[in-house]
Amino acid sequence: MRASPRFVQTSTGPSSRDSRFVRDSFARDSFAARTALFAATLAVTSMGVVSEARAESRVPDNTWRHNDAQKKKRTEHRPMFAAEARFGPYWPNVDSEFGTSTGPYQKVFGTKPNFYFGLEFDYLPLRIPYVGMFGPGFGWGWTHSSAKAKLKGTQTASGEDTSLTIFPMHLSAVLRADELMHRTGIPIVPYGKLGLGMAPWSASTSAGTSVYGTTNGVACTTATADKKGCVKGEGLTWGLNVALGGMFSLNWLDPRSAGMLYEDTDIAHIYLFGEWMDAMLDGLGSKKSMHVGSSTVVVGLAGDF
Amino acid sequence: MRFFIALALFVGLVAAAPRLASADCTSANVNVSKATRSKATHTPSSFTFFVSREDCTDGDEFTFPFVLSNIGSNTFEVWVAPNSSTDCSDKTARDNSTGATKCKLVATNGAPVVNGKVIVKSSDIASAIDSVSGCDFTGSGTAPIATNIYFMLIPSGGGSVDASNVCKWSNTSVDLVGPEPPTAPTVGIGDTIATVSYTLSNNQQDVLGYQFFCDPPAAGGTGGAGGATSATTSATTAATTSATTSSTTGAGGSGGAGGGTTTSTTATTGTGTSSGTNGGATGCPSSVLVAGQIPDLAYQCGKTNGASGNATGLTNGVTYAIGVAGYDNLGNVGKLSTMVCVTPGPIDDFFTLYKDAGGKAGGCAIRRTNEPARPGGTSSEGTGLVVGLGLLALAALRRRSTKAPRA
Repeated sequence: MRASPRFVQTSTGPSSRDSRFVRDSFARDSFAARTALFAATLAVTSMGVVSEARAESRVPDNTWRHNDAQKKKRTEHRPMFAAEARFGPYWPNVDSEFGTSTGPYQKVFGTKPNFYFGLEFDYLPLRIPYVGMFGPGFGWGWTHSSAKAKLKGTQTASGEDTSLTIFPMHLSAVLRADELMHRTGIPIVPYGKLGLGMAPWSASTSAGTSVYGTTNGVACTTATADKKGCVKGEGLTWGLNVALGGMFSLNWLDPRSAGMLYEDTDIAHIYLFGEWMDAMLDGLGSKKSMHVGSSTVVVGLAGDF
Repeated sequence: MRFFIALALFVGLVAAAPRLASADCTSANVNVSKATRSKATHTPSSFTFFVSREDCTDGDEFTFPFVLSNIGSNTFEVWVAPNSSTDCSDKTARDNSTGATKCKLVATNGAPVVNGKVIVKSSDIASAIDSVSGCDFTGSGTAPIATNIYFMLIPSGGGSVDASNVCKWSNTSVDLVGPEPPTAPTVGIGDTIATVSYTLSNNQQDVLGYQFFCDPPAAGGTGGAGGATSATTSATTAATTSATTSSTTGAGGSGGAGGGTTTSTTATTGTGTSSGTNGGATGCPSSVLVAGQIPDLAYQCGKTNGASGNATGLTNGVTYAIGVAGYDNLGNVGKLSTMVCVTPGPIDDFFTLYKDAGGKAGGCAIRRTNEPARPGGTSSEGTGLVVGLGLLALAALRRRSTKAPRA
C-alpha cells in the first residue's frame, strides 16, 4: 500500500492492451445481467477494501506524470502470481486399498464427505502467447474425519473419538488460460494443473495418536508407541494431482472498484472459481501407503497479482 | 540498537514496577520489603503472597525483612486483621475483651532491632481471618479473601498507633477452598482411559481447571487407605460388566496398579460382594472418594481446563469410581462431584480396523533424529518442501519488485 495520494481510475476505458488487466471491458452487458449473476456477498467482500478506499480518493490527479506512471505500471506489472482459498467435500479413498467390501474407513466414518479447506500459491512467470500464464504452484489442504470408536468387537459406541486427519498437498504445473478473457472480454479463465501430490496423515483417538501392534506380548499404547512391534497411526502418501477448473472474474461486476483494488494492492483480478480435482494419493504404487486422495469438486476465491 | 535497548529497559521497568511497588509497605518509621516464602511458589506474580490450604497445612512461613527507626520505648508487633475493613492500628481492634472478632497478634519483638526479619506462619495468617478455624474455611464463597498484615511500633500500654509507626501489608489474600464441583458428570469407555464430561458449575470465579479422581488409583498413583473396600467392589463390578458387554472379558484380573493395599485386592476373581458405603455411584462405591468432600490427591487420574477430558492410566477390565473436582490458581482442590462408574476396555479405532483389514501404512511420518530413515518419506521432507517453495516465492517477489519499481 502506498502512502501517495490515491485516485479513481476515470480514464476512458480499456483503450489499450495494458488496461485489460484492470478492466475486462464488459460495459456493454446489461446491468440486470450483472446483478442477477451473483449475490453481492462475494463481490462486496472482495471489493470492500476498494470501496472504502474510493471514498478517500476523490482527489483528481490527471497530471501527465501520473498517467505515465500508471501506464508504466500496467505494462510492467502483469500478473505473475495467483493465490487461492478453496473448500469442498472430500472422500478419502482409504477403502480402495481393500477391494470391493466395506472397508475400515466406511465402517468407522460412514459415507458422508469431510469438509476440505485448502490454500494455493502459484508462481506464473511464463506467458504462453494466445494461451495464458504458466508456472509452478503449491497447494496445501486440510481435511478431518471423526467419529466415536466402537467397543472392540461390538457395535456399541465407546467414549473415545477416533479420527483421521489428512493434509493433501501438491506441487503442480499450472496453466491459467487468461488470454481468452483478455482478448474476447469473456470473464472466464479456464485452467489446469498437473503435478505431484503428497499428504501427511495421522490417525488418532482421544488418548492421542493411534498405535497398533504388540510389544513383548502387550498391546501397544501411546506410551509404548516407539517400542519394537508398535506402529504409529501416521504416515505420508505420495501420488499425482490433476485438476481442471474455470474462474469467473469478479472484476466484471464492478470494474471501477477492481481498478482501485489494482491501484492499491496490485491485485489485478479477483475470481470465483470451481474446480474438479483428483488427488490420486495412492503411494504411486507403493503398498505401504494409505490411500488418502479424493476426486472431488471444490470452489473458492482466487486472485492474481 | 540503542533504541531497542532503551525500549527493553523501559518494558522491563514497567513490568517490574507493580511487583516492586506491591511487595513493599512503608511508613515513616517502619519499612518492610522483599518478603519471601519458605515453601509456597504461586504464579503468576499477583499470587506470590497468597495463602492456600496447602500453605496453611504444610507449615509455610513468610519472612519479612524490616527496617525500623525512632523505636524509642515501643515494641514491634505484627498483627493480622480478620477482614479488610478492620484497622489493627486502632487499639479497640486489638482488644479481645469484647468478644468480637479482632486482629490477631502473630509475631512480636519486645526489644526491637533496627534491621531484622520477622517470620510469620501462613497458618497464623489464615487462622486470623473471619470464618477460618485452623486451616478450614467455614464461610461461603470460594474466592480469595483479602487481608491486611500490620507491622507496628506499639506504644507502651498498647494504645492506638500513630500512622508513622504503621506499615500495612496488603499483598496477601487467603484462599483455603477450591472451586465448586461440576455437576452431572458422565463417563465413556476408552482403551485404558475414561472420557469424562460434566456441566460446569455456575460459579466459575476462581476456577483454573478440573481434576479427575479415580478409585482404585490409576497406574502410578499412590493410592491410600480404604483399599480393601474399593478393591472388592471393583472386582465385583468388573465381573458384572464383562457379562453384559463382550468388550470387558477378563475383567478383574490384574487391575489396580499402584497403591499397595488396593492393588492386592483388585486382583481378586470378581466374585466378591460390594461392601462400599460411600461415593454415590451405584455399582462402584468408593470408601475414599466421597461426593462433596475434598479428594485425596493420591487418587488423581487426569486434569483438564474445559468441560471434558480423559481420566488416564487406567487398566482395562477394572471398574473405577470417578469423580471431578475443580482447582484454583493456588492449587486448592474443591469438593468432588457425584461419582460415576466406568470399566475401560479395548476399542476398535479407525487405525486398528485399518491394520486388521490388512493395511500396510503407518509409522512413517515422524522420525526422531537418532532413528534411521524409514521407507515412505517423512514429514520433515514435507516441511522442507514447504520451506523451499516459500523461499522460492519470496525470491520471486523480490525479483519482481526490483525489476518493476513502483510508480
